[in-house]
Amino acid sequence: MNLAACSFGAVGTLVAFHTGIAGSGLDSRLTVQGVLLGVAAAAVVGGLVALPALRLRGLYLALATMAFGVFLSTMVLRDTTEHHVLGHTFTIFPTGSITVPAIRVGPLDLRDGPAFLITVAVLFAAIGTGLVALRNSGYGRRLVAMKDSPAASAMLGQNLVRLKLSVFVLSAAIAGLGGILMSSALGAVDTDTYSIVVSLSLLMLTVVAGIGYVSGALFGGLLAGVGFSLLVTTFNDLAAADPDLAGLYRLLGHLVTVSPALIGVGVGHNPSGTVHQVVEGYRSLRRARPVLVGGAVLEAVLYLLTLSGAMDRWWFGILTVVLVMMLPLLGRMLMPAAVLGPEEHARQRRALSEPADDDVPRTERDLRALDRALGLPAPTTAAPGVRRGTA
Amino acid sequence: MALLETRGITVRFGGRTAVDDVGLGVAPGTVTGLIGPNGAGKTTLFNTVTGLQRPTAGRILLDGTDITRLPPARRAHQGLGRTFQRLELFMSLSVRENVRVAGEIHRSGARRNRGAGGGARPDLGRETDRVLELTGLTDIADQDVSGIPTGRARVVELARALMASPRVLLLDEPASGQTEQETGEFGELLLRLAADGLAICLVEHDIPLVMKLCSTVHVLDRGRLLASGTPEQIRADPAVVAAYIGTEEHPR
Repeated sequence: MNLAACSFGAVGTLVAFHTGIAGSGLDSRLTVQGVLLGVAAAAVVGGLVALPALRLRGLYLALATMAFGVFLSTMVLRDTTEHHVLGHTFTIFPTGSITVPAIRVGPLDLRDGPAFLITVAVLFAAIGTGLVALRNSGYGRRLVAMKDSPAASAMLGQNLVRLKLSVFVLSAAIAGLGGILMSSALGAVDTDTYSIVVSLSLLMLTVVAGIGYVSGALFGGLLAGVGFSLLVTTFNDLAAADPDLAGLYRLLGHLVTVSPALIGVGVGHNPSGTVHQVVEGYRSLRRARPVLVGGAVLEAVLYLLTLSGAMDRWWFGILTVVLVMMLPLLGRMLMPAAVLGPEEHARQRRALSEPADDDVPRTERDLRALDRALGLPAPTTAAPGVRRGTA
Repeated sequence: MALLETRGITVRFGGRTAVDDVGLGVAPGTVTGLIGPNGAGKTTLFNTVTGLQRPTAGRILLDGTDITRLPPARRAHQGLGRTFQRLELFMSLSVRENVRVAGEIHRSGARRNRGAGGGARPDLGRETDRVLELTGLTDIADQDVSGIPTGRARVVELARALMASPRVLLLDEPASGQTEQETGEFGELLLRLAADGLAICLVEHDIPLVMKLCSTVHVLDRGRLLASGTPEQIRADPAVVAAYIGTEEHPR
């Protein structure tokens, strides 16, 4: 785990800043070369940081990245003096704040807000798709295998250090790209932009949203970037616009302010994150086609209503989120047999109509169903029926 | 001629000697048994041979080459495979993926170790199917590995090890947790694999199984090699009976 994503972003930004700025004044721009160099630098630095730490287990690697983050923000980014190396004069972080101009490639000028948004969205989609493809590839399976059992992986011929290094370098490169884009979106960045605290809060939101999911990263990023402040202002605006419902909107707005606490509770309840739950819900919906189609139709109607101006854009957003979250639940209510599978459904009905009778011997199967219903962990395969013996 | 050989292997943990000057060989085409009471050093010896544990003294030879200082992954590419006493399956993958990823690991490393290509190799998917078929796992191939019973899980570990095309296979208590029928089928499978030229070394507490499968049996007791010989010789050895077999009916 990398606790210093922002620091690699900083490395990317610095390198891009020093190598990739063309033109001056209002006409200055960031070149693609600079961006690529920045990404490459972040990857290389990531590899160098990880190399000594990779022989250690997860937590120590995480701590090493954190140490790097602290080092970078307190030493390198505070370094505003001039250096003379090999006849070159340069300053790592001049005046404690640098201005990163927008990227411009040919006709594509990212100073333009919508163009920037679309480019970033496309880049995110491309990287996300790439990562999903990677996970389903042999490389991805090897990563999962290493995570599940390093010993077995090594015994099959996996060089663990090399595999860890490769994935860490990849993540540092992505962090570098993210950092450059963030900096150029902000326009000017200073030391605090990359502080370790920013990295940690980004990480927390990603965990909350769903660690191990690309959509989790999107959701977490949205929460971090726009989520909270936007929600609060939205509800305030709505309250102002619609005095009849003002009380309700204010209440919702207040709920948003306490949401970080609720989020913590959420992680305790569901360590895999929000997205995981939603994805699981949809997985069980696969057999209930009508519900899925119904949901899609409903969403289309919402979209058309918005397009025709009959509905506010905010309402569209809120209703969409509600619909996405509720659909699995609706499916379970409307078509329980299809969602849960006929057997499970029949069993649940039986369980509801006849209270459990302790005189009737329960089968292994019933016990497992019971465990699942109660949310207990399934008995591990190794535990029962293992014969004595250690060597 | 032994394919895998240990010479004077000694492993000390602090003041305790877990394995003491053990020299034994595993020949291709045979099943070799390694038995002994709990704590005799059988798993430690396995860990030393596979590179998870560094020996205090001694050498390990695979096909005449010294592999004592190689890391585990390199040994695997030299043809050393193993299963674990405590299951080490890839819990978030299905049975088929567990087997397939072993092939993927093997190939990704093999490319580096022996240069690109290496002649025409069968499709990995087909190879996976072949091993699943061979080990009788086809019926549960698409189940999550976390849900299958221990007995079958041991077979999955074996199938996974086979995907790395081993020459020597070390099995650590493969029959523990298996039903009698599963053990029977497992034994048949091991004999078939050995007949194809694989060298198999088996740590096992199921004495009848060991006696049935093995052509040579080594007995470890408190880290030392107590006896080596054919099953008949071992069964008749008074020292072995006193140290191990005789105590089976009267556990300490």
